[in-house]
Amino acid sequence: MRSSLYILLKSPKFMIGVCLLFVFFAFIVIYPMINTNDPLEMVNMRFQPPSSKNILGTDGFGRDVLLEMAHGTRTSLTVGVISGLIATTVGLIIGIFSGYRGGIVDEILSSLTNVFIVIPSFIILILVSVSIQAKSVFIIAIIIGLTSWPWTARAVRAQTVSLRNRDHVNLARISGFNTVKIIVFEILPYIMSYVVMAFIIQLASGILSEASVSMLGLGPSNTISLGIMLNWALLQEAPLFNAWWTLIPPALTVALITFSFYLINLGMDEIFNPKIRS
Amino acid sequence: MLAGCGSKSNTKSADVENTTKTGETTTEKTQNEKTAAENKTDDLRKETLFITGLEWGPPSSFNYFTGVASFPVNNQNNMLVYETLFMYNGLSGEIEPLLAESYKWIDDYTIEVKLDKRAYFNDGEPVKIEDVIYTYELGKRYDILWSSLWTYIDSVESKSDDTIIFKLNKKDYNILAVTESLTNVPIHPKHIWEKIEKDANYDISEINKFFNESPVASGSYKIYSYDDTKITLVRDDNYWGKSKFGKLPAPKYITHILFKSNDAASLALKRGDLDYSQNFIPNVWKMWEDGAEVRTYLEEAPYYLSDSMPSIYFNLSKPGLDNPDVRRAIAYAIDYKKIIDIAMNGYSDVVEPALTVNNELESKYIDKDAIKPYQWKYDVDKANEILDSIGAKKGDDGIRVLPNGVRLGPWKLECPYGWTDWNATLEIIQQSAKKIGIELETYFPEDTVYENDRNTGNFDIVMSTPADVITPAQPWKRAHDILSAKELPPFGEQAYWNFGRYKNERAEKILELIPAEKDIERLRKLYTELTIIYLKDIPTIPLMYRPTYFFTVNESVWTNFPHENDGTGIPPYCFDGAGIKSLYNLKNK
Amino acid sequence: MNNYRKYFLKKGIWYILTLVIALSLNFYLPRMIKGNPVDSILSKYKSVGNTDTRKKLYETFTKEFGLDKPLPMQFLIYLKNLTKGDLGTSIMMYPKKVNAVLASALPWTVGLQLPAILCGWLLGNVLGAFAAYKRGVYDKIIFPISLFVTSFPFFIFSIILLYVLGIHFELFPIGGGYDYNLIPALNFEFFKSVIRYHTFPFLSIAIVMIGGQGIGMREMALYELNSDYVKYSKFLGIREWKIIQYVFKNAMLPQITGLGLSLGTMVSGALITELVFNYPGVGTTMFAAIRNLDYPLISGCTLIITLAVLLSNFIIEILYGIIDPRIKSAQLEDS
Repeated sequence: MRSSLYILLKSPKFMIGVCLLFVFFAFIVIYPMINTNDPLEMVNMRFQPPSSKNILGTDGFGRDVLLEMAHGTRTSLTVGVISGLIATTVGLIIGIFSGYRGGIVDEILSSLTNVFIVIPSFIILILVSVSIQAKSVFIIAIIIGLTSWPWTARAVRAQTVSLRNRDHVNLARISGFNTVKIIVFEILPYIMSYVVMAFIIQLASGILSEASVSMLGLGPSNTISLGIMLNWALLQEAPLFNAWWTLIPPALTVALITFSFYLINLGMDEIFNPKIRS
Repeated sequence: MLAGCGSKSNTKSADVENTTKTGETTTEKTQNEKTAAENKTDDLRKETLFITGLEWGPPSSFNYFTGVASFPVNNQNNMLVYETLFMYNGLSGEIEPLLAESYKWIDDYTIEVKLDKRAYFNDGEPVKIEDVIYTYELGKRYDILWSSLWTYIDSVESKSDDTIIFKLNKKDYNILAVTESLTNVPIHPKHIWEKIEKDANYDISEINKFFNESPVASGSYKIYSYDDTKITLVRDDNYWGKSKFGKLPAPKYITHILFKSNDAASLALKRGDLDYSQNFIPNVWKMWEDGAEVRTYLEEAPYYLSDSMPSIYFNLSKPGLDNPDVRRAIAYAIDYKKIIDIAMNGYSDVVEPALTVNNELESKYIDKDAIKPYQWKYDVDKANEILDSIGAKKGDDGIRVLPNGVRLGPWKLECPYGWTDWNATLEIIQQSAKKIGIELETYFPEDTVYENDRNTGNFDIVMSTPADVITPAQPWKRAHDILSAKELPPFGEQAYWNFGRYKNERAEKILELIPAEKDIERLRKLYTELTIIYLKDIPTIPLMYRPTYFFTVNESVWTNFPHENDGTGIPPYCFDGAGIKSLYNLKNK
Repeated sequence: MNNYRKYFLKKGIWYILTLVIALSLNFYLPRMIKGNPVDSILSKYKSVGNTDTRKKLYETFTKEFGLDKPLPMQFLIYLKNLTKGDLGTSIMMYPKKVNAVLASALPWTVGLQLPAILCGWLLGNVLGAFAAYKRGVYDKIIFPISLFVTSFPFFIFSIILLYVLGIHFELFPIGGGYDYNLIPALNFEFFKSVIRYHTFPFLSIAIVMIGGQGIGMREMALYELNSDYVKYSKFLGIREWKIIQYVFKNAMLPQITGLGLSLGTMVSGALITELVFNYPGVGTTMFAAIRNLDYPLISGCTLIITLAVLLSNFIIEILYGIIDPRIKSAQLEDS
C-alpha cells in the first residue's frame, strides 16, 4: 500500500491532477471567506466586463461572477461527490454479487445492467428531472447516482469474475467462510484500486451530468451551479453581448475539473495496470 | 420565397433576376420554382419588409375563430387581412375609420355607424351591412371572442344600405365594450362563411378544423406562402383602401421570420436582415453605438413607450398573503429602480403604483394628488416598520412569523422559464424580500404549467400583465382584470383575470358604473376612488411599465417608420389598430 | 456457422427484451411529468370564456388523446399504434402528427451526429495508434492535447467554440440549421448554407471524440505493442507493416466495444449540442416537447433515440462477433 502511494506521488499525471484539484478546492473554500456576500445579490448592472469592482464581471442578473463561481463550483463538486458515491456503491454491490454468484443471479443482474447501459441514462435523467418540481441539490445528485451505476457494475463484475477462481478465494471458500466475508476480505482488497478509479470517473461524470441537466433548465432550484450559470448565460443572450466572462470561466472550470480527475485516474491506471506503464 | 440579400453585403447589383413569382392568388409553396440564382438582387430585398415578433411557431391555422390562429390572422394583428370597422390609435386615444366612415351616438343607447361604400373583399364582392351584422351575430351562435359582447348589445341592425344601428342593453350598460368591438371585431364575408357553417353542421369545433389557407377578406395583403421558418404576405394591388388612403402600402411583400431564439432575431435586426422587430432586445442602444442603423420610437431612454404594467398577483386565500399589511410591506421592500435598470434595461420609468399607466392618455382619468398618500415606493425601513407594527417577529432563521403563528414564507414567485427579463425581475424581488425577513423562492416552470397554475389559482405569488392589449376600453379593462370578481371562475377552474380571486363590493360597483359614464369629471372621481381602494388592498403590485410592442427598426433598407414627434400621430407599432397606417409612409432608402 | 447463429440468436433475444423495457420506460416516464397536457392546449384558447364550452373542449381533447383511459390501457393502445407506425398526434403542434414532426427533425440529427461520431472515431483511432507507434515527439504533444480536449463535454466545447470562433472571429453562423432566408430545396445554395451551419456543431462533436478515441487507442495500442507476440514477431523478422496490422486489429476490438458502450452518452451529449446551436434536430424538438408537456412527442423522440442507440449497439455487437475470432472459438468450445 505504502509503496503504491509512493509511486503515485512520483507520477507526473497524478500529481498534476491533484494539484489542479487542490487549486480549485482552495478557491472554493478560501474565497467565500474573503467575500462573504450573498452570491445571489445584484451588485451591479448586468453584463459588466471584468473590473476592479467585479473581478470576473457580472452576469445577466447583475451578480458577481467570481463569487458565483466559488459557490457554483462548490455545488457542482457536491453533486459530483454524492452521485459518485451512490453510483459507485450501487454499482459495486450489484457488480460483486453478479460476478461472484454467477448463474441465474448473474444472468439477471447482467441483463439489467446492460439494459441500463444501452438505454441512454441521460434521457431517463431528463424525464425524471422534469417530473419532479422542486429539486434540491441532493435530489439531483441522487437521481444522477441512480442512473449512472451500470458502468461501474459492469466493470466490477468483470473484475470479480476473473478473481472468483483464484486460489486464495477457493481456499477461503473451502475453509467455510460465508459469502459476505469472502467478498469483503478476499475479493474487495484486490479490486480496491479499481473501485477508487471507478469512483473518480463517476464523480467526474456526475459533475458533467449535473451541468448538462442544469443547462437545460432542469437543475436544482434556487442554488447556483456551474451548469446553471451556463444556462442563464445562454438564455440571456450572453454571446450577443460579447460577455465571454459569463460563459468561458464556468465552461473552463467544468473542463478543468474533469480534466484533473481524468489525470488522477490515468496516473493511477499506470500504477495499477503495469502493462500500460510507459 | 427567396430573399436575395446576403447577410453582410449591400452591393448594388445591376442584374435583375427573373424571379418566378406571381404573387397574386397562389398560396401554394412553390419552392421548387424559386431557384437560387447566383445573381442576388437588391430589388426583391427592397420590396420586402422583414419583420418578427408577432408569431412564435409554425402556422397552425389561418382561421380566426380557433382563437389560436397564426399571423396575419391572429388576434389584434389581423388588420392586414381581416379588417375592422374602426382602428384604435393607442397614442391619441381616438378611433379612426377603416371599413366604416363615421359613427354617431343617436342617443345614450344607440350608435349609428356609416359604412364606407368603397370597401370590397378580395374576391370582388363589396363589403355590405349584411357582412357586419353576420359577423357580429356569429358571437351569438358560437362561443368566440365577442360572444360576451352580446351581454351589452341588444341588437345589430341595418338602417339603410350603408348604415348600421347598434342598440345597447339598458340594464347591462357598457359603452366601452361596444366601442371596443368597433375596433376589434374582424369583418368576415357572409357569403363565404355561411357555407362553411352549413358544411360544418353549425358545430364550432368542426368550423375550427377549416384551415382557411387563402382568406377571402378585405385587407391590403394576402397570404403568399408559409412554412416552419417564415410566413410571407403579398400586397393586394387591388385593395379597396387605395381610394381611401390615396395609395397602397409600400412593401410589396411582408415576410415574418420565425426565429427559434431571441438572440438570432436580435442579431438579424442588427445586421439589417430584419427591418422591424417587436421583441424585447436587451441593451438595444449598443446596436446603434456599434454602427447599425437601428432605431427605436424614442431617441433617448427609455426608448420605448409603455402602455402596460406587468405585476405580481397574490393568492389572497393563502394564510399570510391574505394580510394586507404583509402585502404592503412587500410592496415597500421591492427595489423598483433595480428592476428597471437590470431586468428592464432602463426601458421604462420607475412605476408609480396605480391602476393606470403613467402616459398622458390614461393619466387624465385620475387625480394624482388624491392618490398620492396611498402610494408606496422603495423604502426598506418602512417595510420593516410595517411588519414590526403587526408583531411579525424574526425567527432564528431570519424569517418573520406572524403572531398567529403563520410563517412569512416560503412562498413561490412564479413566472415562465426563459422569459429572462421576468426571471430577473423575480430574482430581484426574492432578494428584496430577504432583507425584510420574508422568504420567497423563484419558480420557473414551463409556459404551459405556468399558465395553468396562474389561471387555476395554484400559486402563491405569480407574475402576469393585466389586460395586455391595446384597446379603447383602457384603463377600465385593466382595472377590471385586476379587481373584478363578476362571473369569475373559482379556484381550481380556469380564469383569465383576477387570478388571486380578489373581491370587493364597492370596487365591483364602480366597475359597473364606469363603462356607463360619459362625463370626464365624473369618470375621474370614479377612477380615483377605485384606485384608492386598490392601493389600500394591494391585491397586486405593479412592478414596471412595459410596452405591449417593443418597436425597434433597422432603417438600412426601409425608412420613415414612425418616431417621436414626427407629426403623423401614428402609434409605435405597425400591425395593430391605427399602426398599419405606417406601412403607407415607408420609403426605400 | 451454427456457432454464429447461436451467438446472434442470444444477442437478438436480449435486444428484444431491452426494447420492451425501453418502450415501457418511454411510455411511462413522460407521463409521470406533472401537469395535464390538455390544460396546456386549452390555456391557449383564451377567447373561449364560457365554462361549458371549455368543459366540452376538454372532454374532446381528453378523448382524442386517450387520456381518459387507465394507464395500462393507454400503454396497450400505444403499442398497438406503434405496430402501425403511428406515433400519435403532437399536442403542442396540434394537429400535426408526431411522425411528421420527427420526419423533419431526424435528417438533421442523423446528418450531424453520424458523420461527426464516425469521423471522430476513425480519426481519433488513427491518431492514437500513430502516437502509440511513433512515440517520442508526437506522443508528448498529441497526448496531452487529446487528454485536455476529451475532458470537455460536447456542449461545453461547443459553447467555447461558439464564443471564440462564432462571435469573436465571426467565422461561422451561430445558430439554426440553415440561412433563414432560404427555403429547403435541392440546390447548391441551400447545401452551401447547410454546410456552413453544420460546421460548428460538427466540429464540437468530432474534435472531442477525436481526443477521447485518441487516448483510448493509444492505450490499447501501447498495450498491444508491449505484448509478447509483437516482440516475438519482431525477433522472427516479420515485416513491420504486417505487425502494425495485427496490432491495429487487436487494439480495435475494445475500441469497438467502447464505441457501443458510450454511444448512448455520445448521442445525449450531441443532443445538447444541438440545443446550444439551435440546430433543428431531434434534440431541440425533444426539449421543446418537454417544455410543453407534449407526451406523444416526448415519447416519440425518446423512442427514436433509444431505438437508434439499440440498433447501433446491435450492429456493433454483430460486427464484433464477426471480427473477434475469440467469440467464434468460445462458441466452438461451448458446443
